[in-house]
Amino acid sequence: MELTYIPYKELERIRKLDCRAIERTRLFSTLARINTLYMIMQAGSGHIGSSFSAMDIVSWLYLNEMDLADDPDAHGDIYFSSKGHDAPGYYSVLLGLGRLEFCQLHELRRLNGLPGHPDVITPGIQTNTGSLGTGISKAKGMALAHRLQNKKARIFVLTGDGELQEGQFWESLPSAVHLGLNEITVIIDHNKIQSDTLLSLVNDLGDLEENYLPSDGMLPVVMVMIWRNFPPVLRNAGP
Amino acid sequence: MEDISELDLDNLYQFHSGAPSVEDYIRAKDELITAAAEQLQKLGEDPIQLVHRTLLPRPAVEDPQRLIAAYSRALVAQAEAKPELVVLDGDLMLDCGLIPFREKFPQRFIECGIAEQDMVTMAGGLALRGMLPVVHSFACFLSTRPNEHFYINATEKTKIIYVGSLAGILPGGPGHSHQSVRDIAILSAVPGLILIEPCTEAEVEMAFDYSVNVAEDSIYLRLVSIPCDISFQLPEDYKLEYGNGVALTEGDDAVLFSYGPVMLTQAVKAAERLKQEHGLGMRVINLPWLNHVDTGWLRSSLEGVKHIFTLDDHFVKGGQGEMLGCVLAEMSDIKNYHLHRFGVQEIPACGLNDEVLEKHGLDAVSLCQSIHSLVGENQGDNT
Repeated sequence: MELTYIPYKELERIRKLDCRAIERTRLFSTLARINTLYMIMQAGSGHIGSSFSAMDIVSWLYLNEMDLADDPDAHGDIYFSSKGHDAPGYYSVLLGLGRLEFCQLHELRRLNGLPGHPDVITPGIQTNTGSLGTGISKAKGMALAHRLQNKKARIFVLTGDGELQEGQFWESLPSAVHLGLNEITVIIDHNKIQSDTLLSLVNDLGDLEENYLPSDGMLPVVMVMIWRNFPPVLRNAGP
Repeated sequence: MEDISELDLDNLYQFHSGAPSVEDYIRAKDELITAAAEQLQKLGEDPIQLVHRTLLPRPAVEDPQRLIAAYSRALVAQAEAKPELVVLDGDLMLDCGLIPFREKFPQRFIECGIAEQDMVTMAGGLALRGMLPVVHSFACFLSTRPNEHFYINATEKTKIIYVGSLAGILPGGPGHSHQSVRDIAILSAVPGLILIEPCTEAEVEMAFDYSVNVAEDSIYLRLVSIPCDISFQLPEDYKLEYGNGVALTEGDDAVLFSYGPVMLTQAVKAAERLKQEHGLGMRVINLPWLNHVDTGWLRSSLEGVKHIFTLDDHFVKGGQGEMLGCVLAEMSDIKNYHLHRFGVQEIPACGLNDEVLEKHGLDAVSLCQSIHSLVGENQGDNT
């Protein structure tokens, strides 16, 4: 059968389009989804749902929000996905930004290619994830290191919503507040699905913001936001 | 395409992992291409140039052994006769083969979500109050985060059956977060926990029967999830006996102990090559017990052989081979042998299954070469 992908020059053209950021990002995100599908079909496996639901978020952060150094390894701001299952989607964003060699598009889940879950061996990958619930803890370590080194960098952590069932997620929050680590922004990709089925059928968290993440309650300093729509309002973020 | 409004427990989510069907791929791709074209047209920009590439068909495994499907059947069969058997799942009911059980015994199915510590300790509570919990997740998650909770359950001396699927180095695609190659090491020392890895559908049935009806202790059942085209057959009269294994090939030049469908397949193929290419006879033994061996049986299985190999679908450190090496060292009547342990030596590689086995030197060709040269090196050396 025939697979279809978007070549790098087209992604580059879209990134430079003279239009509103939201339109540019939506287009880039749509094209990155086509490439994600291509990579997963080529590999024969990959996490589509997680990649697709995270795509708008990752595209928005990289195209509009983050301070990116020219050298792909020397980041100003840091992004990583705590769930890690959305690696194919993240790779397609990095490929579209020219931050990975574009020939890697064909090498998902291959030896010396792009691993099924994130690994620091890949340029642009900040930490190894894929085992759920650990992201905020890792970000706290990074933030504390930056403070000791007088570096100012924001850290964006994407988590799944199924991932919130892991105890470590809840363990990681209070000390983030206690330590005042306001350079960390946690974005919950609230796609309402976990591996097998709907979250609401497994362990219904109800209205996440209402029940767990009040803006004036538990988390006054670290910003935990639930992604709802373009464009996000990143309140409080930044050192 | 992403309409989830119809999703329910009888209609599970199809797009978590794996690849979509050809029809779904074409529909999704066309939908996205159309969306992009419309957006570009609105902006008055040129349409997107696409690149097409042919996807080569993948070789399919013919009539494979499917251990998860066999487990699924065994679970339902045992549950019929054991009303106290309850199933706990960590959001992997599809992958762990639990759908038939859930359909048949919905009241005895507990979906714990992605919360392994919570699940394993709940199992402890169920066991304390007279139930037989059977706890499921991928081996990489089940054995690791709730490891302390395994130990606490063990100190209460209740009986719990833990079932870790996706065990071992394959599939190679998901990468090291999902390749469970240290579960034997971290569970072997849990008091009263017996670790078993079956190699065929028939042995899965035996192992689960043993777990439910014979064992007084708790069990960790380690299951390979990929469909396997196996290169061997268990003898027709084979019975699972605690601490004993069974020879799959004959030979007096070397003996190799392994377990599970992935490594036994490579071992038996390696034995065939050794015979054909070098005239060496290697006895391949399936030993499904991962943290225990019967010394009497071990002694008899080594008769007339001085080159001993072990092959772990796991890190060499803390694997079955290490256990066997320690037992051998303590058997004062076994002397003048050479032991070499094969297994995973470094962080497992991500890649196609064949690529990953070869990269770690665990495919039949590499094993044959290594064994041939090790036997040659040690020939005539009886120290």
